[in-house]
Amino acid sequence: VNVLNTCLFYFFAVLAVASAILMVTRRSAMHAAIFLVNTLLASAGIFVLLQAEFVFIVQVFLYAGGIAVLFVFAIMLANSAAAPRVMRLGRQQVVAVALATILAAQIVFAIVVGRTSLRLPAMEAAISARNTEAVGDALFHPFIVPFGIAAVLLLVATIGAVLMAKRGRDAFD
Amino acid sequence: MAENSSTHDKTAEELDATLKQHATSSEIVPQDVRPDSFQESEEFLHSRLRVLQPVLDTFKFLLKNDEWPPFRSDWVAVSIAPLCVAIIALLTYLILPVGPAFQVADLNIGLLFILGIISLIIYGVVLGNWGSERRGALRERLHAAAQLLSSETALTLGLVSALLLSGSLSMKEIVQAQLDQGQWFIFYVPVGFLIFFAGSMTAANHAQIDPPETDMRSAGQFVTKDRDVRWALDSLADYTSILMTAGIATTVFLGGWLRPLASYRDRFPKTSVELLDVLPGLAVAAISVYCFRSARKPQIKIRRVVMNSCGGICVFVALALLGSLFARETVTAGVHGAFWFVVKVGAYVYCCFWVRLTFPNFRLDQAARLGWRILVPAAFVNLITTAMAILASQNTGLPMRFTTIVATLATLGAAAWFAKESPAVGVAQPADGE
Repeated sequence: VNVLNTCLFYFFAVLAVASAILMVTRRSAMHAAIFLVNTLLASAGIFVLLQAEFVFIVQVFLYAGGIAVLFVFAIMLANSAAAPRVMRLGRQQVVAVALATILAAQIVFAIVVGRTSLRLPAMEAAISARNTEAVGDALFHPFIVPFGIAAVLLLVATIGAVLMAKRGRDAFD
Repeated sequence: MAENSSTHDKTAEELDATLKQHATSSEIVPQDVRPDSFQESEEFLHSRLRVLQPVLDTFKFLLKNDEWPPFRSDWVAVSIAPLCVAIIALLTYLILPVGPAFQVADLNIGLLFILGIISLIIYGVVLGNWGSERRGALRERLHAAAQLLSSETALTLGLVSALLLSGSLSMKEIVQAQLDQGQWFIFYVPVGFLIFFAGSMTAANHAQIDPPETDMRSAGQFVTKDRDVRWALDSLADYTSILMTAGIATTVFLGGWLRPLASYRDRFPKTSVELLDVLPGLAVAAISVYCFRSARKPQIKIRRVVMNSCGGICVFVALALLGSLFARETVTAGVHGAFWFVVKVGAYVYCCFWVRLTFPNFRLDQAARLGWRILVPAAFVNLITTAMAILASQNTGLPMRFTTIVATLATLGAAAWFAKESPAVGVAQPADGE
């Protein structure tokens, strides 16, 4: 089982990284979006290997099924049918390379430090068996205040979106 | 042969035409007209083999040269779209429990897994139409996607009302909860079931809903010209998603593998055979007897063949059902559970096609209005009233049956109000243009 897990981990990891690279390098925005979805799904696969099924399904549901769909919609709306290609980023390349280097340095640092000092606690059997319930308990007992604030924020955002949409339509009428 | 009357007509017409044609040349050359008997046998063979048509078609499409869409369109997107839908629909079968003994994986996120996977189907619709550069395609695919979103929102909220009752996402535990509470959830949250049914009809049916522009028959259909293997995958995706919704509805609302009156246990004295478990076996046996009897009546041959094979299948099923009564308890439960599950799924699929063929043309604006203005708000109200009903019966000790009836009435009232508040807009033909 361990060998299989390792193989699957490397499969998903390679898939995720390869799709991420392809996503950045594709010229067609739609292809980039498809590879983004691929990356998200591959990292969802890694969550399954970690026995975090709830996080896995949230990744699929919210990111691949929700946010990435919004990207796709935006791409469809922004591009006219004739011009589905975008220009490469010009001046921003320098900034991007600098930021990527800093991020990579941080990751390497974290790995080097964490290899010796980081000790993850063993997973409790109860949590692995009742994944969803554990998340629900955590949300509604220790984290009820942030959860409530997030809910109110989302409600406000929804109302705002509806208002803006209505105002836009009035302007057209 | 009654069914061949059309053939006769055709032959007569052909003969007539041939005769007219040759009347001028004043000689009759009968080679053109095939002999009646030959044609009849060919027709007969054809009609009998037509059962295998979908299977053979698939092979034909696989062997056929695939015509790629025109050069400028994005053929990668167009070709992975139906695959995407078909694979997603097949993935959900992983966790459908067909009886207590047959389930590939009992994930503890069960239902959530299905809903998450379904939410990816939208890529199939979007990508399938992305490739085509037709004028107006953009609005069509946005419409189709928005409509799919609305019906998926509604059906998810419909399911959640049943989840409140089950208290678990695992498919097995949902059925177990229905056994423990002695009631299928359709009787506790009928409105939730109806919302799920309507939502799944419009979601799985996206291929059937007419877009306002009629140059393309349907917005969810990718292949407009010739049928090829992508079309085959597309219809495969269609059927698998209908079966999938039927499986979900059966598990969540219709008691899964439980038989009717599942908590009523009455054993024969001194045996472990339950009285009610004998009935389905006997009923299927009776059906097989009916099939064999009606096959003996004088009639066309194809009907006889069908009746005989139906009878044979029924005999097999009845033997399995009755024979398993004497096996170990787990075997009995497995076979009978699978039987009930299949019967319920069959009934649900029957209803689906019933609705689908009765209302073949569902206009897109009607579907959108139904989804966003009636189903989704009603589903929210249903969720709240169901939660209140559960709380009320926990706190006051009133029976769940009573509180859920009150909740259902309240929800129906709200739904009627929503329907009244959003009157159908005549024929909403949007202004032309992009």
